[in-house]
Amino acid sequence: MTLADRALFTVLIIASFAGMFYTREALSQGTEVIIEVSGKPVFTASLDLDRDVPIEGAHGRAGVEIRDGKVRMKEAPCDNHICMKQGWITRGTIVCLPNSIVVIAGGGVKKDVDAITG
Amino acid sequence: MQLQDKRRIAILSAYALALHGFEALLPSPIPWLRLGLANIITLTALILFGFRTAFTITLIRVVLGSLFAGTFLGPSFVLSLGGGICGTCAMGAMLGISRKFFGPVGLSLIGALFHNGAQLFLAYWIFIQRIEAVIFITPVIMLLGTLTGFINGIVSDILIKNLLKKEPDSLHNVAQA
Repeated sequence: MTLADRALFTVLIIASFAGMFYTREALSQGTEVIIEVSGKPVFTASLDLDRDVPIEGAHGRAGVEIRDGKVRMKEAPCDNHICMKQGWITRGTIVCLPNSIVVIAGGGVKKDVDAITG
Repeated sequence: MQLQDKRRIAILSAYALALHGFEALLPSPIPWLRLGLANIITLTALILFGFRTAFTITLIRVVLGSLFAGTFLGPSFVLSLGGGICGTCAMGAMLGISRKFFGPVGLSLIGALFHNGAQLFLAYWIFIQRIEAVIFITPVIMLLGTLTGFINGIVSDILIKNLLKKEPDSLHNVAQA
């Protein structure tokens, strides 16, 4: 191994760790709210904008409230109200299973596998 | 192209294909992570026999490998071909600039970097078209590529040294050319 080999290896390792750190920093401030009904996104907005969003779910109208950078399920036409009991979130998901409504907060980047290369 | 070159390319392509197929059988924690073992053969061929041999081996390996795997002309074939060509060209160019500066390990790292770079670019350009996803995954792929490239480079280094030791007569002239 030449000196240049070692140097290149070190530089690449440092650069990739720095890159990982940087992209996580830059992209973790995902202040988006995405609301999906039956897997299809029906509403996308910033978490910074306070508003009430009526959502037509599978079993009627549900209400999503966005306030102070947080989001919650305000009302839902189901029996157990698990989604409402979850309360305010800034990151993660609220799922209202009977209504097929999914609220995704702080997202932005999905690490999907799009292809396997060979 | 002489008969000996053809025979050499055929044998080396067979080695590369065998490694290419073998690594697909290995269990991997990440589905799209490949070790790039075939690059050991490409790199060895590049250093011992020159760019044309290495490039031909890469083309044969990518085309036949995808035919065997049933992905010929599919998305993964496009990525594989682009990565293979770009990686081999980058290593060839670096070797052309200086034979002394980088050893097999450094060349392997460059090859891995450009291979992954080309694949990311192609993936973005043709398939994903979501720049934040590509930017997010780039450092991860760079790290994995650096680690696998490093290991492949060490193996190539050992292989080249052993080949030169065992067959100094038939290889010595080629390696110096």
